[in-house]
Amino acid sequence: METILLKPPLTPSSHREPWRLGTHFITISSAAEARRLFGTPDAVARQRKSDLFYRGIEARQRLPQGMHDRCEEFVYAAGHPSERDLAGLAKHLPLHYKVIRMHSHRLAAGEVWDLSVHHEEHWPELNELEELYVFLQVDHLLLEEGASILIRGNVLSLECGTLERVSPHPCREPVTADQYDIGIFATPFSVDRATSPNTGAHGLAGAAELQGAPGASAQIEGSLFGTRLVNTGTGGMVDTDSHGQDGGDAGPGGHGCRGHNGGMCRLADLRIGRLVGFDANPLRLFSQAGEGYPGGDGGYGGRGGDGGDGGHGVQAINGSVPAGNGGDGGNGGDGGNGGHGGNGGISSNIFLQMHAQDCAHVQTLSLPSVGASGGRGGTGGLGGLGGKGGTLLQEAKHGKSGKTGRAGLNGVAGAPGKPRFGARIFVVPASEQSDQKRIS
Amino acid sequence: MIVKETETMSAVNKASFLDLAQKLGQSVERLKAGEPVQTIVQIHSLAELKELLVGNPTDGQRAGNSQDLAVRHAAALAGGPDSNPLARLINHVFGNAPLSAQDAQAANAMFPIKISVFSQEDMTVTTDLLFGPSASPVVLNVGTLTFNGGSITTQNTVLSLTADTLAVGSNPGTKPYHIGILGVDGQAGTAGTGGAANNPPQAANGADASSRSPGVCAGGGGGGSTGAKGNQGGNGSTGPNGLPSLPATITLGSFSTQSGNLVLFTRSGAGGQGGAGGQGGVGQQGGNGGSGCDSGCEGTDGGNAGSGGDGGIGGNGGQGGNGVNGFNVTVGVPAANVNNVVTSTAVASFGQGGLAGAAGVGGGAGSAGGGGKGSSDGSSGQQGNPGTAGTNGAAGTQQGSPGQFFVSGQ
Repeated sequence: METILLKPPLTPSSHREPWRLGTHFITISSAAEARRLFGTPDAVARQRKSDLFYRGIEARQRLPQGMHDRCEEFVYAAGHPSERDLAGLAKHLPLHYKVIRMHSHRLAAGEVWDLSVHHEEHWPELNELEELYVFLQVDHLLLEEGASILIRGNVLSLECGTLERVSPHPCREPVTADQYDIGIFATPFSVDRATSPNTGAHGLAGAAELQGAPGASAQIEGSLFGTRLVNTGTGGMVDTDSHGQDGGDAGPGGHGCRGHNGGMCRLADLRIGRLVGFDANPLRLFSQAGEGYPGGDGGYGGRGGDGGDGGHGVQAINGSVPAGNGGDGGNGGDGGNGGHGGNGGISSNIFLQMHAQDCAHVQTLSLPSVGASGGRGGTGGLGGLGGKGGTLLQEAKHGKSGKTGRAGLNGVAGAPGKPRFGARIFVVPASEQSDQKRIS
Repeated sequence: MIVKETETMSAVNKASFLDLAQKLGQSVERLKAGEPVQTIVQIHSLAELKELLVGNPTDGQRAGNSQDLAVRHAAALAGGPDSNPLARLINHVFGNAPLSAQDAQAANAMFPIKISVFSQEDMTVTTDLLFGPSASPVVLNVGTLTFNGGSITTQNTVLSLTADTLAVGSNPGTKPYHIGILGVDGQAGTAGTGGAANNPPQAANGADASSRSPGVCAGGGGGGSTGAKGNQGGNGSTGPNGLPSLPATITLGSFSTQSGNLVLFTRSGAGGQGGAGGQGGVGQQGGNGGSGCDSGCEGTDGGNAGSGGDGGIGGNGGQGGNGVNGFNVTVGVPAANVNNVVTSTAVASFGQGGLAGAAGVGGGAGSAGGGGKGSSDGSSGQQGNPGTAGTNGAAGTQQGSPGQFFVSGQ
């Protein structure tokens, strides 16, 4: 977590669109229009935001996400996107906004105001990965004890004239994951593009192997002289393989697939004109992206096939066939390895713009997102049982029993997913001459 | 068929069981004490074997045996010098046929052989005794043989049974006979194996769409290939033929005054059922559709899933095996008791054909390729159709005729 206190420069006022009271679901046709309607009119504050915009997110500027970052810098700071960036943004136009306009709003004790918008409720034609935007403009917002505002996975711009804490019990409670006034949270789903229907899937169980064929029993017939081996060949005896066949080795369990990455926290641009009632109980701002999803478990190794039983032997008048040994059981298949746990979600940065005298009454906490546990390794399959030895007819002798096959090795657990840095939270003082009032 | 006559039995036939036991080297003292005695007797020549197993049947019995064998075992008797001499040896030992020099040489080469002889002064059969299948010849030498709820059965095993006195008790037992001379039925043929698994198990996947450069897509995902048809199941093997009922000689010196009828039965070995056809193999799984391009903010549609292949044809059932003709039974009893011998026979049937193998299951469809950003997934594929079942095997072609009973009275 990083909090930076900056000097307030001069800021020219800008034209402000008069919004009708209520909640509106609108589309914006260009980045320029979004810049005019939803960004701060404080040009100096914009420039300072631009100076800090890519701290912590430099590496992703080479990725497609970088285009989105540069366009957001244009809308909410002082960015200058390239023609290529604007061409890329054009594929996402129009932008979809939920606009909330209020004069005054009071959150009751313990009330949680979730500002989030979901595509399936208002724009079902959109892909769930498409960015959605929320703009809250409220002149006077009052927070009773324990009340909070949060957003999950949308880009948030908030313009509040006066934010007032109304609490009968002034006390200083530090910001935690459970104690905050404003929470910036992740999309309730992964935005990981490199996924397939199998992401996070468990590995398939290994195929069990069939039992080995039993040994052939001696073919005999009675005669005047005694038991006789059957001669069905031309000139020779039947070649009786009385030993049971070994059971086959089973197949290994499939590896578990890696888990999805955690949901993403998007950019937040919070502009508060004045804090009232936060001297003894600071404004608490918290953020954490989503936890990764567990890796799939490795599949069980298959069971080795049992050895075939030995066939019966005989001491005949024209030869002998030994009692067959039982075949060895086949080896069990190794268990599959567990898939890697999904990484924690990524975060865009958060800007909190307010007057300099209020900056000391802010507490921020941004936690890294948590990587998920790797999938468990699959259990190795059992070895097949050895077949029973056959009997030597007319005598109490048996062939040897086969050996039990080796059990398969257990798979290795998947590596845990990596955590990701939390959002950088920048507290930016407004310029002394900035015009935070709306034009009604 | 029963052939009954009333010629005079020889003195050897009238010899007591003690005389025979002593002749075979068994302890008379133990037998008189009531102990059962079982010994292994070494036989050195065909003549000795003939005397032990057959005793001294009448000329009519011998002639009748050979005449019957000439009809029902004609092929075996006519076999060349390299053929199995069993039928010709039986014809010589139990009938009146001469033995060729080649067969005599082959027989003499078997000796010495060992035969188990069982003697007991008073033997009461209350359970079902089984000799065989396909065991060495059995010689039973009994003073008083009483059937009271039990039976003696042979399976493809030569029997020589001698008793001074026969008695039949009031307990009928579970078998419809006292002495059964049976063959061995053929077992079922080996079932065909199931159609082999496809290799590879899945048809080729469609190619994933590519990105010419970051953020620029070129084309959608390729369609998955249709799975191949499943492999045919294996045919069941032919059912084996049965093994014949072998010759038996039963010599009874007298019947107990309270005795009922002695019931004899013979049936040779039936053919085994043909093996079942194996099930047709599963059709190959259809290939997966390739993924659509997903690069930056561009995306293309995923490829369609390939349909599964049809299931394979089931294997055919194997033909049933044949029944085989049985050998004859020679019975010597007092003339007054010829009609106390009740005989029964049955035909050894051919085996039924093996059942057809079931149709193979159609293979599953592959997975549709995922679409890229803002694009559609490919369409789902269809599961393959089931294959067709094989055909049932044909039944065996021959039944086995039972041996004849040649009954001679004193």
